[in-house]
Amino acid sequence: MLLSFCSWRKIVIDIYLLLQIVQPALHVLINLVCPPPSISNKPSVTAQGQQSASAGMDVRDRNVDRIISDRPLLANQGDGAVAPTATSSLSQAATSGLVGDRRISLGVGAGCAGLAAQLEQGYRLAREAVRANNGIKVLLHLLQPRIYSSPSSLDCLRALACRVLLGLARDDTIAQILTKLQVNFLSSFLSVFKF
Amino acid sequence: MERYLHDLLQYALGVLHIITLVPNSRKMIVNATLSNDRLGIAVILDAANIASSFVDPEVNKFILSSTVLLAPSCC
Repeated sequence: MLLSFCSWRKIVIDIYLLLQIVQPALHVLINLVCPPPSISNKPSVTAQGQQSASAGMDVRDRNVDRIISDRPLLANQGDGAVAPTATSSLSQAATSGLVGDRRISLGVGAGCAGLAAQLEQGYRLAREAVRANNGIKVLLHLLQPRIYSSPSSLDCLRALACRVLLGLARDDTIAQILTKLQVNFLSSFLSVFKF
Repeated sequence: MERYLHDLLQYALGVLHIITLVPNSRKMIVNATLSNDRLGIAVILDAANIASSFVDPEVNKFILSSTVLLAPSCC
């Protein structure tokens, strides 16, 4: 009986050690698929207004070059096939409050013109690679309720998995997959029942 | 040996965490292929999935049935 208890205790310790592996792995995935918040979050309305007031038209044109969008926003999709113009993309950056945002903005006077496009291309490749290697399944598996670890470490892992999923959801196809899988329902279920 | 490999894996992932902050190296890691013809991203995903592959229903059953669990720091 004592021997059995010791062996089971060793298994539990091993699980705890394995969870220490999952966390840095998720951090790596976050770096691969999520742009840093400083360049992907929407600029505040006041900051945007100050920029447009102080900067001239040529500066604005340069800023447009550095803001790229891999797809039109969902709000525009309902309006029909209206391609977003350069000036409308600036206003959309201020109004959309999606996951970070779907565009990378390096700001005025930062980087060269194609740098944002290059960054977005890198993130797109990473998203495709993660999806091709069953990444969505792995991440959704991490969201499932488990009982073999402490609730705090589980919450940490779930938060990291959600962050990777949010980075993946910047892609149209993956966003639709996650919508069909009703991940939002699962996350609200977890938060209500505190698994 | 097992603990050594575990620490090695943890440190390697820590290094990858830092390296992937640089855009150029990020692309290299995404496109990397190991000597056993596995993609680098697949290995990282395996590391993220390592806990679920380890735990089997017997462990869950044990933890459910046991009333005393020692914290790993006590061991």
